[in-house]
Amino acid sequence: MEFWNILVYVAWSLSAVMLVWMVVDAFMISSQYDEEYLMSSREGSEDEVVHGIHLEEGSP
Amino acid sequence: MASEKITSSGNKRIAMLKVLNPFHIWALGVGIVLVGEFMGWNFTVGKGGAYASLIACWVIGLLYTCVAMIDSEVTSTVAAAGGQYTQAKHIIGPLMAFNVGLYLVMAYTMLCAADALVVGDLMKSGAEVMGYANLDTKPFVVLTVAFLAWLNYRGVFATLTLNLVITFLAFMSLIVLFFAVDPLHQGVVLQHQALLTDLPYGWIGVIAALQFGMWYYLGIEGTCQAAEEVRSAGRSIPLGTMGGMMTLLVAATITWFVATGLMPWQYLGQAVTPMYDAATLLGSSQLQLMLFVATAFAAIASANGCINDASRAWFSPARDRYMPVFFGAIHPKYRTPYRSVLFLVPIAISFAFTGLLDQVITFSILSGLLGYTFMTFNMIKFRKMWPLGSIHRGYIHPFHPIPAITLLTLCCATYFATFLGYGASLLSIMAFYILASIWFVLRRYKYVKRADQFTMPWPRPKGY
Repeated sequence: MEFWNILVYVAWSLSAVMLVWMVVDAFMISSQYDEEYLMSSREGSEDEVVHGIHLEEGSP
Repeated sequence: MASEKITSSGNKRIAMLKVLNPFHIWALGVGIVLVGEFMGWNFTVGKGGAYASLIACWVIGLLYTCVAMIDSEVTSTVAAAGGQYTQAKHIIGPLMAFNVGLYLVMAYTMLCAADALVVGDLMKSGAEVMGYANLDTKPFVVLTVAFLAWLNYRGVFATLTLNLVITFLAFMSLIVLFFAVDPLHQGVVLQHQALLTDLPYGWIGVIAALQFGMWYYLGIEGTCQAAEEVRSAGRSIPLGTMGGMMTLLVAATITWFVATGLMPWQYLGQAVTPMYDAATLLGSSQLQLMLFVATAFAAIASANGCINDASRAWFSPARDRYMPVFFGAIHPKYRTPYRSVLFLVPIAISFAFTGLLDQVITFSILSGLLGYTFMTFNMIKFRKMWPLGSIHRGYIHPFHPIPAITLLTLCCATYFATFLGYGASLLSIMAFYILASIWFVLRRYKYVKRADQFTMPWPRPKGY
């Protein structure tokens, strides 16, 4: 039936859009942020940890 | 476009957001598991009859209660992602930690693949009911994984809030089904007196049923993966985990009671969607539709929780350089382990495309079982190294060491049960983990910065 064929195409398309969005975003983050910063988290410690989003506009 | 990369300023570090509460923890644990009440648990009936299934339900319930208690105590002190991996790293040592991390990643990734397969199969069944046969399930399998990965990528709060809603609705569908069969009046709808037989394969059937009894609860231990993202790990993890365990014990018993009162064990033991079949037998199209939707919700909630847990279980060892450190990154906007989420997408889809639901689930169950076995030694050592009073615990489990010993005994019984049904799989999975351990010792551990991996503000353990 036409409806199910369309649904299959919609499912493939939505999957592709979401997967591509994530890959592109991951590349953009890598190009905008220093690797050391992205991997600077440590377990268990609350001190000097940045919560929220203010560092996005922060400067080096 | 930024001309210069944003770097850490001074001692500022990035961290995951602490936004979750005990309800999210409940949703994570129960969400992963509840699909097992809609399908899979009934293979216990095929192994040993209806009574064997009930014994397996409660015996394995005891196993998981021990797991939940032990996990709650240890995790209430370890506010870190990685769950049992982090516990093993602090309490046992690096090789155990590596293995436990690998068990977790494999268990959750494979369970996610199995859940996505179930969603695809449900779509196909729905299409058949509406008159369209041969619907291709692959796009719906991929869409399930892609959408849930996208959600996980963009933030843990929305991810687990979705889980809370759909898990609650799926659980409520079981309650509605329970009242729909008029449980107080035997013989009106339920026919237990006619359908319940003696043990058809004797007590060996009961032992064999233990393996599939894990379907009732497999994944509840995943609650501790969220320890780094809850507002108060010491309070939220024990509350969410123990509340989840109570929910599952109720759901498992209701499930058994309803299904065995409606279907003979010979049919029930091989049914693909027993709860949907139960609704069909009641002759109500509304109940049928409700159970169809609830089964889909349960599968989606499970896949969602699995992506959440698998990504934390991959992220945490990567942060410690047990795995490539590249995966130890956190997204600066969404505060999620985004590279780990992305990395696991093709793996989950690949497993799902094999279509081998049986093997995928067996690998997942055995990986989980190996993790529970480790927890017994972990708990004994934890209490020796940090006795009561030496470290703040949000929860102290009672009767130590009885839960740890009970857990080890039940794990051994379940290994035997697995060997009876899936001996070759058990041995090949063991071989896989032994080879992985050799690789870790010979090739990987040299990259681990040993001092950097212990950053918890814990006191020095007793005797050190």
